[in-house]
This record gives sequence, C-alpha cells and structure tokens, in this order.
Amino acid sequence: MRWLSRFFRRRKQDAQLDSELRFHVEQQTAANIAAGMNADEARRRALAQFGGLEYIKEETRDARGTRFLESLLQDIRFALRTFRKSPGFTVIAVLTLAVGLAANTAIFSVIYGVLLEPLEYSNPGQLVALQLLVPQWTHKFPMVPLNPATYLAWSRQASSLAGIGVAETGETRNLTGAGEPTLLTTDAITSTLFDLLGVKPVLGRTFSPDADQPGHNHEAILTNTLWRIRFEGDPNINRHTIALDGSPYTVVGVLPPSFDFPTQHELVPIEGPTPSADIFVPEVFEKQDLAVDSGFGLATIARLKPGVGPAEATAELNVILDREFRALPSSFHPQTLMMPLRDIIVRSTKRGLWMLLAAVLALLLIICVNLANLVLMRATARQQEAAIRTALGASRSRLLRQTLAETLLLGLLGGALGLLLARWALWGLLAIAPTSLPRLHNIRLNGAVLGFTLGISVLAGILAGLLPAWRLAQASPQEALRSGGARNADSSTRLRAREFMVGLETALSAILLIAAGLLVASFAKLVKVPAGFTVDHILTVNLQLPEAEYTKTQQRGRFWREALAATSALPGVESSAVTNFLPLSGEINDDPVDLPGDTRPAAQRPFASYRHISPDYFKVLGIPLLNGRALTWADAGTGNVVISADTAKTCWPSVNPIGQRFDVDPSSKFSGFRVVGVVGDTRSIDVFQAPTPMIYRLEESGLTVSLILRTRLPATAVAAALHSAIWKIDPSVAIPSILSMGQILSESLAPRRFETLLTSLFAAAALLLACLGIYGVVSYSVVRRTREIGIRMALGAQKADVLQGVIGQGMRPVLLGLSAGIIGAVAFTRLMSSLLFEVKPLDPLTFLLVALILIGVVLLACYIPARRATRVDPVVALRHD
Amino acid sequence: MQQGTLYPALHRLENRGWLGAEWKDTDTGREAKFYSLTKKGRKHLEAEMASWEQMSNAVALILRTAE
Repeated sequence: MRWLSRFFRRRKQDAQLDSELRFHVEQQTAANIAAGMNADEARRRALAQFGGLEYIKEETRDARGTRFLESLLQDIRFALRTFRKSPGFTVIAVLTLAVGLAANTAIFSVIYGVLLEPLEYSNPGQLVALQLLVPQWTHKFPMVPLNPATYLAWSRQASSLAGIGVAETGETRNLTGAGEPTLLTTDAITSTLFDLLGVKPVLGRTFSPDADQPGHNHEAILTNTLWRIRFEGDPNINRHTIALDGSPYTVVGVLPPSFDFPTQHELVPIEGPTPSADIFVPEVFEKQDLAVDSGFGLATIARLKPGVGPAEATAELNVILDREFRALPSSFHPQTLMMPLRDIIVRSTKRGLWMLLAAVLALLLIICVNLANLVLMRATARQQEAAIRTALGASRSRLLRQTLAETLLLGLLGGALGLLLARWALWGLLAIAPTSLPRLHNIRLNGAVLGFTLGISVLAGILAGLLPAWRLAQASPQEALRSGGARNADSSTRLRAREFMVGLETALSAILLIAAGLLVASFAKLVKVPAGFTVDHILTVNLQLPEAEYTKTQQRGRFWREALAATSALPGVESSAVTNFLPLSGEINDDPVDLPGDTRPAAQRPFASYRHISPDYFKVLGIPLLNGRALTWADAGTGNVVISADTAKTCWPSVNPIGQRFDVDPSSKFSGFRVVGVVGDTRSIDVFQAPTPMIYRLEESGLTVSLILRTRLPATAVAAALHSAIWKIDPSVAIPSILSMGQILSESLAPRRFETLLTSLFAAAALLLACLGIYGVVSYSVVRRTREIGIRMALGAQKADVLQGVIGQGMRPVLLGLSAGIIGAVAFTRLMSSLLFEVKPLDPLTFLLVALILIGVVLLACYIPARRATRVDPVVALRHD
Repeated sequence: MQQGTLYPALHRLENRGWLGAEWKDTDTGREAKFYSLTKKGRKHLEAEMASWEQMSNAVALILRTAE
C-alpha cells in the first residue's frame, strides 16, 4: 500500500530527490572551492565525483517500485497521442472493432439468457424433466411423455425424488364472467408444482394440495400479465370467481412478473409449439385416464432429493416402471429418461445458437486480422522511431508493451462503443428472433454479458497487436537508422506475415460463406417443399364452443354444419371446412392401427395420425383424391374413414385398401373402421418431417375446431362478415384472430429463418471485411514496390506483366487460404447437419459456388491496385523514395 | 565507490522501511535529508551482520585448513 502512495506522490518525490542530490553536489562544490579550485572546476569535479546525476536519478526512481504502472501510463498517453495524430486510422479501427464487438455481445446475450444462465426457480440444479424411452418406438418417438398411471406410480413410490409434478399446457379455454369472453391459454398442472419449483406468488397463494383431486378442481392462478391487463391489477382479485369453458373457478393467487413457465413444446419436444400460459388450473385425473398403456401426453418435472444423483434416481424409477408394466405383454418396456430441466427446455435451439456464436466470433477474428495488418503496415512506417527508442535503451519488452498498449486501448475503446451499439443490436436481434425461442424474456445485457464483452475486447486488442508488436521489437536499430526511414524492399518475413493474415482471413470467410450457403440452400428447399396441400388463399380461425352450453354431441354437430353452411356462403369465400387439428400445427394425435389378423406385438404395429374433418376438407385444401371417395355427411355415425397414401402403403401394401376394415373390436358393438377413400400425403405435423400416415374421420362432436376458408380475400376483408355469420348462430362463441395458412407456415419456419438470416449477414460482412483487408494489403504492397515496378517497366515489362505479377502475388495467399477454408468447412459443417433440410453438409454445389464467389470478389479487390501499378511512370518510380 | 551510487540503495532501503528519513535544516541554511536506522532496519542489520560473520568465519576456516 505504501507502494500505491509512492505512485501518487511521485512528482513531489522527484522534486525532493532533485534537491537532495543538488544539496550534496553543492556541498562538495563548496568544499572544492575551499580547497582552492575555481567555481567551474569545483563544480565539474564535484559532479564527476558524484557520478552520473541523471543515471542516479533513474536508478533511484526504479527503486521506488512503481516503474510498471508509470510506464503503463506513459504508454497509454503516448498511444492517445498517436491516435490524435492519425484520426483516420483510429476511427476506422475503433468503428470496425465496435461493430464486431457489438455483434458478439448481442449474440452472447442470447446464448447466456437462453442456454447458460440457470433457471429462475429455486435450486435449479436439482430439477429434472422426466420422460419415457420406449425402445421399439425410438425411430418414431425418441422420447415419450408420461401418462397419468406412470406419474402416479412414481409420485407414490419414488423415494429419491423430493417431489414430482406434471403439466398439460397450451390448452385453450373460454373465459367468461370478467368482461368480454376471451380465449385464454390454460396450463393444467399438479397442485404442488409451483411449490416444487419454489415459485412465490405476489398475491394470494399457490394451489392447495388437494386441488387436483376430482371434485376439488376449482382453483385458478393468474399470470402477472393477465392480472394486469385483464383484471387491471385489482389487488382484491382473490376469491373472485371466473368461468373457464363454463366451469366456475376461484382465483387464489397471482404469479410474479418474472415468472416464466416452459411451454408444452419445450418440455415435450416431440409436440408442436404452443403459446405461453395466461392462467393455471389444477390437473385432474379421472378414473378413465388411468390406463397403464395409453394417454401419454404429460410433461413431467421432478426435484431430486439433496444428495441423490441422477443415476441413482433413474435406477429407482426404472424399478418402479418394471413393476407397473409387468402385467403387459413383454414387448412394452419403457425406460426412464431423465434430463436436467434446463437441457430439455433449450434442446432444440442449442445447436443453432452455438453455431451463431461461432460465426460471430469468426467475424471478430477477421476484424482483428484486418486491424493487425493495418497496425503492421503502420509499424513499418514507424520503424525509425522504434529504432531510435531501442538505441536510447528501450528494452524489447518495453517496445512490445507499447505496441500492445496501443492495440489494447483500441480494443477497449471499441468495446465501450460496442456496448452502446449492442443495445440496438440486441433490440434488433430480439425483433427478428422466433417467438418460439425458449426463455426469450431472459435475454438481456447483464453482468455476465458485460464481463464477456470486456474479455473479448481485451483479447481482440491483444490479438491485433501481437504480430506487429513482435515484428517491431525485432527491428534492428542500425539498419533502420541508416536508411533514414527510406522504404526498403520488404523483408521476406514481413511479407510472409501479411500473406499469412490474408490467408487466415480468406479461410475464415470461406468457412462462414459455406455455412451460410448451406443454410440458405436448406431454407430455400424448406420454403418450396410440397406440403401436400394448398398454402395460398387459405384462412384459418380456431373456434371453441363453450362446454357448458354444448353438452350434447348433436348440438355441436349442428353448430358446425350451420357454421360451414354460413361461411361458405360468404361473399368471396369459395368453400369452407373444419378440422380438429390444422396441418402444420405440430399436433400428433397418433394411435396404433389394429389390422385384423395382425399378430405383431403392440409396440411394432403401424401408427397413424387421426384427424376429424368435414366433407369439403380435401377440396378446400386441395388434397387430391387418389382412390375411392371422400367423406360425406351421410357417413356420420359410421366407421367410414379416408386414409392417406402412406397409410395405404404401410397397412395394405399389396391389396386395394378400399373396403378394408381395422380396429375391429368383437367384444363391443364397434365394427371397426372401414376405408372408403385414399387421398394424397400431406406434411401435417411440421414442414421438416416427412408426411405421416393419416386417417380422416368425420368431425361431428368436437368442441375445439379450426375453421378453414378458401378465399382470395385477405383476413381483414373477411373478418367482419365471418364474425357476424358465426354470431348469428351463437353470439357467445369467442372468435380469435384469423390467420392465413401462409402465416402459419412462416411461423413454423421462423427459427430456421432466424439462423439463416444472421449467418448470411455475418458471412456477407466477413466477405466485405476480408476484401477490404486484401485490398489494403495489395495496395500497400504496390506502393512499397513502386520502385521495383518502375525498374521492371523501364527494363521492358509490359502492363500485362505487371498486372499479372501483382495479382498473382496477391492471389497466392488467397488461394491457399481458400483451400484451408474448404478443408476447415469439411470438418465443421458436419456439426451443422441437424440444422440442414435435405442438403448434405458437403454439398458440392455450395462449395463450388462459394469458391467462385470468393475468388471473383477477391480478384476484383486485387485488380484495382494492380491497375494502379500499371500506370506507374518508370521515370517517376525510379525517383520514388 | 562514487558517492552517487549510494542513493538508489538508500532510497530502496527507505522504501522497505529499514531507513527512516527527515528533512532538517543544515548550518548552511539549506535543507538536507538525514537518514537514520529504524527498529526494523536495525533488526535486519544485525541479521545481515550475523550471517556475514558466519560466512567470513567459514571462509577463514577453509583458508586455514588449506595451508
């Protein structure tokens, strides 16, 4: 600490040292005069006896121990002075660094908020998501959510779990009794789930423990947003009664604003995206839900007991599973699949996000390389200065430190500016981010992100300065001083350093461009993939009938038939249909197909997705009829179904499926389903998956149904007419916003679009920067070789020869870099294959295109300075310095 | 030994706290810096002197036996 005070008092100490030494010299001088010398001689003798004054002062100052900090300050002041002297360089350097650092900060904020930060529940490390692994189904369902029987078995018997809870999320219920009827997204959860997560409501309490028992199911908990917007933040909301789908619920609590419950898709990745919850109710299991081998659809969260490891818990859960499923045929043996809760929530986005970080870091690396080249070129001009310093006694490490201080300062300045830009960059990023991105609300600029920015600013500064600093410190003083700063021919090592940088830049740009190219090709394929049905001119709206008023199936069937009749008669609407699940909704709804005479065990039987539709469904969506006939209203109450071509191929490969029966149950009155028609395949679940086998039944009794309209009019034009048509039949039906099929398709592609857009942006920026860097290097090299070029031309070289020479030299490292980049891409794109759709990671067309584009653009960057070289007048060049 | 070479050493010892310094008036009317040994410095001096004695005794012993 005395050291620190010495540092701050150093000017005073210098003055004191000065007077101390002067005192002694004067004393000695006085003694000399007394001994008989004259004044001048006396002083000279005294000084000689004393020793070199300046040297002594230096040594004493060194002994103070504050040398390092002092020289650092000196370096910083000097660096600032050089920045002031060359504002152009400083501005360009700081700006490019700032842009690169801002992009990195923004992307890292996303990565930290989504992937790295622990979940905001208490002790998140102990929370796990539980699913089942059914070996025979893994090709179709890599993981299977729980069913009520399994959950209850684990809940009652597992001693390694501190608690377990399930959720069925994303359902829509009609809210009445509080203003206008609205549809709310409702999550049904185990009553103890919030306590398990450690969530504390801001108002009221969590569910009472028996709230999820049949008959007690009347409590509801509001999300903060719903409470503020719909109930105006009423502090007396507790014990208020509302109705959901006609059933009464009492509000018992309000959740904190920061609370974020994962969606069904995040907890059960095989299911499609659903919106976040507005309201929570208890999940009740009725007697009929408790079959051991069906009803798999529950997202499950559990907390491990402190001290219990996942392996131990998994083993215990497996034992319980064995016991439960022992009674079933031996082929059905599910295993426990336990994953940390955070892992399963972010599972689908992990790859894409890390790839984006790699891309943006590569961009920053290119920026650093460009900066290093700039500094290197400036360093050559400052050779004389460095030589003088060395001659005056500067150590190599001091020179190195001084250059590094410059670039470090540039890095920090760039980082500071970058942080300011990052706020906008993040804002822009969140604007185009897919809404299905998990933990979207958690993304912000926080301490960890700032730490990251500081770290990479310092790293960038050091990286940019390393090579130039090393080169400068190696300068031999005599040579530089002798030439008086004249422009010598480049030493071969210096040239090689620049060429290495160019090669590195080219390699990185090539990798980025190839990655972007693959993503763009993949996205183009995705957008054009034949969905199997018309996407244009289709409008959809999800309608829900209030359960309390439509208790009988005939009432519901009548409503839908009236609605269809009314809507298809609307002006501009060609035809309308209904279905229980829209295509591309991510909804699976699979069941095994029981073929008569099929003796295979249940786990190996074919699966098909069921849909309930109205007769015009195929006509509205343009799905072709391949065999037999479509359904009509006359098929109501029968088991007549229409199947898709894939179902026909899977179940009846060698027989005409028309007339075939399946799911025949001799013990009941149900005589099974009968195939009356075959239609074309569609991508019903999402665009990425191949068409699944479909079985279509007639929609007669659904409460929640999607209405599909075929019309050339936009949603805004049809909305009013639609509203009045539906409300004329029943004014209490809530009508949410109308979406076009095109919008739904676009929304499902949002994550891929996000990655492709960003990577393309980075790749384009990388190409631009690399070209600018190469242009700078080649221009510089031309200027340095002006004399040599002049001599060559004087000796008879033609313009073409000069052109060839310059471009040749410029392109050599580029071609080497390109080869390295291609090899690197071959290694890295393998990691991207999960992000690509029907495009191979080693797609030769993409590689070829990228190579051609890169060579073409870089050739241009070399050509411009090369042309300038040909304009060199030999006479002027020979006189050139 | 030149007078001046003392000064870096003096300042080093002062920084370590083994020497104390104060500016006092001299008879010529100017101010000069006067150094004195501190308690810590005296302890170190005694330690250094002891180890110097030890070393010189050892060297003397070697030289004597070599004769």
